[in-house]
Amino acid sequence: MRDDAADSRFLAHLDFRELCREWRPRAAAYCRVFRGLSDQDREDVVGEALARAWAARDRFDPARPFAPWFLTIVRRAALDALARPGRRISPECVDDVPSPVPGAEEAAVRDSEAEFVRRFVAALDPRDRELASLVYGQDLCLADAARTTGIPVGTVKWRLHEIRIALRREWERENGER
Amino acid sequence: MENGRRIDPDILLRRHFSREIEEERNLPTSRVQHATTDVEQDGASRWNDRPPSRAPRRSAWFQEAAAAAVLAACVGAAFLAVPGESSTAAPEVLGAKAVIVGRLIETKLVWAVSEFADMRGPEPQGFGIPGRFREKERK
Repeated sequence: MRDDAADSRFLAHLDFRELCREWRPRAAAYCRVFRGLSDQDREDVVGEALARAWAARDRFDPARPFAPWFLTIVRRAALDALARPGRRISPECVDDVPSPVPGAEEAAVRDSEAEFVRRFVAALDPRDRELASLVYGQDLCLADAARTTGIPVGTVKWRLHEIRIALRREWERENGER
Repeated sequence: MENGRRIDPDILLRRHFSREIEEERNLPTSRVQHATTDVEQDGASRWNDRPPSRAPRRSAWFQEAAAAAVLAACVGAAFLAVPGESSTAAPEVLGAKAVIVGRLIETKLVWAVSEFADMRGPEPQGFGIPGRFREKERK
């Protein structure tokens, strides 16, 4: 698990360039759970979130973990982008976000385990996908994931349990068919 | 995939989402990073620094009007202080003139001060953190 307290101490001396370097990839990865966003939208959302976080930095309490605070801003920016009037969702960005790194997709296909999980995550309910991203990708604890998404902690715990069970069941089903 | 092989969903999911972050980390420099220079040039580039300015952006018209009001007050005061006129005018005329100019100065000064106060007022809370988290932030 990431040491949030250390993050906060580190961020107390952070400048904007460091903020972008450290948190842009994490924010962009988190934004993948919002399937209505194209690559361009995601970049815009991440930029907007970084700017908002920077503008609101005096409201950040260094005694608290940074990740939930920042990811809440990212989430807000993503939902704002999705709710923007007149916005059109392009079909190619609804189903899945293609890997932008040349060769990475081929590597993932070679790795059947990784490909299996990628398909599994892509098929998850959007809310479950977001919870899994926050807990497994962003290393948020259950309470912080609950706070970020506005879902009760008990529900988060139950949903993650269901996700784990579903993943194992799907794995066994695929292997049983072969 | 190997048949009958036990998997750990926690490990698989963690690996998957970590890989997504790595992919984003390996992306070429985006517009976001180019934008950092703009922000840094704007003043406070350190996390602990104060924001560049908390004053809302008002149009130049306000500043010019406020300055004009102060100037009008100064002209009024100078008019009262003309030595030749004060020596010839009757005391009651001078008194009435003083009252009129005084009220004018008072009105304009109050208006000017309020305009300046508005210009230095706190930034409106346009953006906030949604939900319960904001409540905890305030504590």
